[in-house]
Amino acid sequence: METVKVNSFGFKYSLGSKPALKNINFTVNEGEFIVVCGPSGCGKSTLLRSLKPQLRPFGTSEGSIEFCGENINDIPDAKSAAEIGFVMQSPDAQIVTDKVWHELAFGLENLGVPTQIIRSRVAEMANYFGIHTWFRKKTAELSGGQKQLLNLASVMLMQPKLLILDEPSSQLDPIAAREFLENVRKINLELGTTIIITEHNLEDVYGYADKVLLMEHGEAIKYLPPQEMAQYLAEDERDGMYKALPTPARMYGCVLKGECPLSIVEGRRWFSRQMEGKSLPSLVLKEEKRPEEKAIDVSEVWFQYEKGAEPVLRNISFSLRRGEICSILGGNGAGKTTTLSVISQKNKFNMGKITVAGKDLKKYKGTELFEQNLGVLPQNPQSLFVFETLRQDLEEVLKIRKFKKEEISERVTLVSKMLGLAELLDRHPYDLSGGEMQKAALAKILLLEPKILLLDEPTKGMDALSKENLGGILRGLRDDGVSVLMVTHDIEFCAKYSDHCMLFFDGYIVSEGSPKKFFADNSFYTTAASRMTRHLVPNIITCEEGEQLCKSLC
Amino acid sequence: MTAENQRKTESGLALYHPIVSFGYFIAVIAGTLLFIHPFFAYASLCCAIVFSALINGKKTLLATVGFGFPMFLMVALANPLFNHHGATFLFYIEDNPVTLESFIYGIVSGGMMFAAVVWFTCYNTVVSSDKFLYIFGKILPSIALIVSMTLSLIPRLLSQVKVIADSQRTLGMDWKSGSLKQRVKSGARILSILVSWALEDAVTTADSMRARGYGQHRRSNFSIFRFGRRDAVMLAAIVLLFGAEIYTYASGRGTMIFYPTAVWPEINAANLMLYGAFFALGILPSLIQLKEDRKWKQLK
Repeated sequence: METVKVNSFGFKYSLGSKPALKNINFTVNEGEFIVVCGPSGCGKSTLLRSLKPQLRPFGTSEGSIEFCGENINDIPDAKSAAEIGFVMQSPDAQIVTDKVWHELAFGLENLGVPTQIIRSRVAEMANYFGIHTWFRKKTAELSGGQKQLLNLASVMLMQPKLLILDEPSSQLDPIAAREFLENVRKINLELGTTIIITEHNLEDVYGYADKVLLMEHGEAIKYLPPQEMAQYLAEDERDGMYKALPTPARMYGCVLKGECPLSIVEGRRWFSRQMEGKSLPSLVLKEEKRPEEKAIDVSEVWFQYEKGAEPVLRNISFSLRRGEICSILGGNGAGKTTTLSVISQKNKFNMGKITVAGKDLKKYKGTELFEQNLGVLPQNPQSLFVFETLRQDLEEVLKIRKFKKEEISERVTLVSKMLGLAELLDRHPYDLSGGEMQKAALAKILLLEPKILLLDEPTKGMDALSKENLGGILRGLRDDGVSVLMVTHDIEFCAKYSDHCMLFFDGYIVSEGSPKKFFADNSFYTTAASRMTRHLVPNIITCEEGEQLCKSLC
Repeated sequence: MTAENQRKTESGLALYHPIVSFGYFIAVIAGTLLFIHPFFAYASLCCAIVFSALINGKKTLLATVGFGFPMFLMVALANPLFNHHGATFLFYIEDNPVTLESFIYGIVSGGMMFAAVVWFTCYNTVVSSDKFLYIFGKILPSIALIVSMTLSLIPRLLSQVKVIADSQRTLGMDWKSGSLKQRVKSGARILSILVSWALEDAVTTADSMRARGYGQHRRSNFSIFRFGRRDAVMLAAIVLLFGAEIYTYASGRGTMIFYPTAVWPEINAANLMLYGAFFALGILPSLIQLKEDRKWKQLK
């Protein structure tokens, strides 16, 4: 049976000049898992919201949307509220009430379901998602991953037939994101709920899809199973979308032989088959030398949040060298973000010594540390913007620094060109997409002319193209002599762009080295390309290296 | 925190259904405030202190007494200074007579207020905010939802303020340092960002509520509290003892005559029974708590 049938659907926002959606046709059968992908601004979100009557945007539409055989406009409100579930991006803002149990019950309360029935359904769902251990907690005390899982569970409690998710994992770290998406898949496989999802990062979700809908400029271009879509994207050279594909599919895409693998297991098998009878190169590791001069030196630092609390940093020592990109990797709670907070004077450390640009950190007073010295990109770039337009926001940084008018506009133009923001200068900062906002925040910080940059999870919420873009910018900065220290969960990004990697565990650094050596030595904590190829060629770290190898041999 | 100073929010009376524990405090605090009578005031005070010692721990009790006792002294001493009724003159201050009766009245009403204060600290431990919200929600569901939403919003705003302040500091806008003018400016900046951020979030929250069917139907009110047999038994006991209280009040046996001369209440069977009933009400939660504490000791 068809859950959703979209017939030549078009939509125009009441204030928009161009239609946001044009002539869209597709059907989703019961129990299917559909991934909608496309560059930002292609109309994905508008399409998803059009499928949920309560969230339909204001404007004029044409064509029709059917849900389970009925026109979506004719379905009673209470029914569509329950049967079409919708999960949004922000883990925090979606939560309505103060207690986990109350949040779970919220939807059913709205429908007027009696307490007895709510009680048993809440119990069922809490068990299913493993929420029962934090059932009585306050919602404010949950982690980002738990919050988003709570949002998912609260929607699932209403027993929807169709579950729509609009970039649900883009504000989570990759580990929480993967866990979340596995839960979505579990719902699909075990409960038969139909899923329509969009994601920036297709690495995890692509392999789950029954079909992929590709959108561009408000139109649905292709609607194919994932293997065929990979082939189409590879042949068609739609660079942005192709780069978003999972590593195995990309390696396949550059030679287009055999069957398209989607998971690592399939990828390994495919790689073995392709490499059969070929003489494999032995890549020798070069010992890479780090620059000598230290931009930041952390020496035997201890940190506790409270007296008597467990130390978060235990005797940690490392250095960031002048003119390198250095990444700190590690799980949640290993002390990565805390390290940044200690270096940026957000938290005061208990013991040890930190030197920034050759000067003892404790000797920096007021905001001296941030004056043409240390730039910090926070995890929430939203917290940096004040004004109606991005231009005003950027200019203001220079006004504080007392620059002259002409110089201000000159510098703003320069930095916006460098980061590709020129066309966005007159937009409201809050209207930018995740990747754009991250870049805008970076622009604001670069105007302070920092010599050292601290980045906290810079690729969060970015699609493949924005990541590549950011990587290029960071390399450019490095070549200009800026030293970059970033904390990230994004292994692939780290492998591709950093000069030095460190693994944090239990409050200190357990291993470090150049990315080549670092990831080739690790067997679990390593990139998808490495896991896929290491049984034959040990030193392939990035997807690009893999692609090159495949191209040269096949 | 040592075990001695820990508040017992999950034992004894607190483990009963919110209606029971809430009802209990209504009965006992009403009784305390209704009767201006030496027995009721001091029986109530003793029971309250015993219960507070059991559930609030030493530290909190000492703090309560530290606040309550000076208040008691003030009431007890202020009354004879300002109230000159009564027939038995003790002495004059300037031209004002100080009477024995008004002194007695002060001591009784001071004790009564002291008792009420201690009961309120016990209330705070036993009836947590979500229990209160539950009872409140039974009467005014929509306001209860607003309170619950506010309670989830406050910690979120607080953490956002921190995030904003930290990132503004790296841009050179630090509200903790610099001249006063600069600091005020930085503070205003933080507030302005907070407001736009909150408004942005509010749009999402509203969407999330609508998506889950808010405002389409009459809401039901879910709670995690269940009313069991022991709740019924306890509630019946409270209602019964509260009935005795009402009778005491209606029959005038709960009020002592102070002016012009103090008439000490008669000690007879009926009065003793009513006193007993009130004392039983006051000491009930302490007995429950003691029984539970002993059980835990035996289990160890």
